[in-house]
Amino acid sequence: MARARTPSLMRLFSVERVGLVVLAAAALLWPLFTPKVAHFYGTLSATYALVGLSLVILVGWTGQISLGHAAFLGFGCYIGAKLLNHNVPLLLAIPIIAAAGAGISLVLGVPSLRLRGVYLTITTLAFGVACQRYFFTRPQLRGSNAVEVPRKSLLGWSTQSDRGLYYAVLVVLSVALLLAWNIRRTDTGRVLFAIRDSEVAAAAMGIKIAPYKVGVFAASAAIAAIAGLFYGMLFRSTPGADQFGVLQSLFYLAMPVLGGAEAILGAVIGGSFLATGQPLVNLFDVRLYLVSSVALLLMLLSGQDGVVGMLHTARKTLADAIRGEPIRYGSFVPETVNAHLDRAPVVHVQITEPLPEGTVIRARLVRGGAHT
Amino acid sequence: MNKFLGYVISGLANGTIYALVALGVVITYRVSRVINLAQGATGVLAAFLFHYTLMGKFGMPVAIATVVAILFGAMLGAGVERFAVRPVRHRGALATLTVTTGVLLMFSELTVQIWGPNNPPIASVFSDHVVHIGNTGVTVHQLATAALVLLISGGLYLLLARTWFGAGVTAIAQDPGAARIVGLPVNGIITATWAIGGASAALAGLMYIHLNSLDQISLTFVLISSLVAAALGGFNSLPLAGAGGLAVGLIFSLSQGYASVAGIGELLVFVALLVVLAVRAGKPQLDVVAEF
Repeated sequence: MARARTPSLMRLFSVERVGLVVLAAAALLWPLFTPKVAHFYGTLSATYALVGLSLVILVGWTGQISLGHAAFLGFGCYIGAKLLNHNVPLLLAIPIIAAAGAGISLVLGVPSLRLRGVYLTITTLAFGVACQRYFFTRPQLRGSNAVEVPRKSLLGWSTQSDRGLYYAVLVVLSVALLLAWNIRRTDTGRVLFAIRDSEVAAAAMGIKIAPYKVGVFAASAAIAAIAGLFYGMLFRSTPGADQFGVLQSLFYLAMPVLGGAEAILGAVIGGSFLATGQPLVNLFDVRLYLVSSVALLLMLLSGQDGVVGMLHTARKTLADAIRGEPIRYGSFVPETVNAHLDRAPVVHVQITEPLPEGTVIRARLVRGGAHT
Repeated sequence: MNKFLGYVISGLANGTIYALVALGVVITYRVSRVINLAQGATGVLAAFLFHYTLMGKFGMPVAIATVVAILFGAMLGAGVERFAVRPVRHRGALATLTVTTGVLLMFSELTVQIWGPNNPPIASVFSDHVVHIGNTGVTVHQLATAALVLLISGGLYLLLARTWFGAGVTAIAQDPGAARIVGLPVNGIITATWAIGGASAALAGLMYIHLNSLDQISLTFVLISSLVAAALGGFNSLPLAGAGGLAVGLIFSLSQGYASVAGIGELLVFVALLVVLAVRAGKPQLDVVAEF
């Protein structure tokens, strides 16, 4: 009996599910008990979480890196300011900006994603510099001075206060998270993971790779552009071109790395880290970007997939401690052990993670949990 | 005509520097299949150390400070490979690329954290004396930069084509597993190439800062110029990378000179990259970049 219950308990309290419920409750309730200044950072966290999500689906789902994502935020912010100032309702402005972001991404994605490898990274970097120096300095796009970004209501919900805006961003973020989570579970999601794990193998299975990669990049750009709109609304005016520069893009990349690129929840965690980091690092008089870059490097060197990955590892360790059967790198399928104990058992080993050099595979046969 | 020649000369002077950084990127890529995004930032860190600490604080003579700064660059390059890239190499291209991105951000932020965000005019080993060739003036520094880059390119070519070390580099580029089996010190050679990359980046940084003011934004421009140059040759060809560097320098200088619109050079470099990629995408791919 004990054997049957432990795994199902584990499934019930899976990291993602428990985390999700706790996080959702916390996200809804905390603004009611906190002072106003916290609402600002809360809204910034939610906006960064959108940016984080856009990078998680790009990095975690296709294995590509963008070093120009801040430029998409910039386009979202500047176009959004124009739309809202022309009295376009917020609910309509969001899809328009998403479409604009996706459209711009095609210019980069189509030439560079047809090539395998790092070309997207370099193209996005060049795009980021071109935006920062050229597009965002055109008076037609930003105007020569900062433009006010009006805080329009979302479906009658006022966003005038930071708390109101927070809930509006939270709604958009939840919709985006839900969509992403659903795509992950469909065939499309599985195709994406197949591509990320091995393009050659995926191509051999008849998957056309480029359209998927271009599509994910477009979705990622659309989300980033929406985040840019809310970024502008949060600050009530359009920031200068250097706020959407390459350094910001590098900084944003810390979100999927620190939060975890494998799980969607990583975006929320990474975004909250970076958004609340500024008041913290001010205490020590160091630059936020320096701290985040060091954190990024330490996380990568630790070999963990962000905070979410750490939680997973912790849960695995706990489960191993309870069940006493550490299986690190793969699954063992003992076919004949239980049926014919007199014969030598046949064990199939499937190694699912790349092994570091010099790894020793040890197999210890342990009888199943129920000691009959 | 004079104006044109002037733009060409200043474009080529910057172009040789992009070419030098691009050579470093290509040479490290060939052995380790890692694109070192931190290349430009290594150069800046070395150049600021040279200016503020070695010359400013310790009052070293220029020549000695230059040598020390270049050695420092080599140490940085080797250190990045040994302590940041090698530990994550087995996890694939995504991990190594993210690591070098992190190093880029860290170096660039360290520079600002330690020395502040101002852009100093930095001394050069060579004088700013103007030499007249025909009707156009060229500074000794510009000439010396071009000559140095040519010299280094020639030296690198000889090193790669004629020596035991170069044979090792080629062997590792073709098949690191086989290279290890025949007894080559693969890790040592990889670290050494990263040291060469770091040293050339430091030299490029010293030369560049004397010609241009350098803040974090123009640093990213140096980086992107050299990466575009390297991408022209598919990260594999040293001559193409060098030519790409010169081309980027020329595009930038001519467009900036004639169009006089802020940021037009950056835009054109971006467009040029898109065109090159579109052309390359039509050809069969010989190099496997992501899967190593």
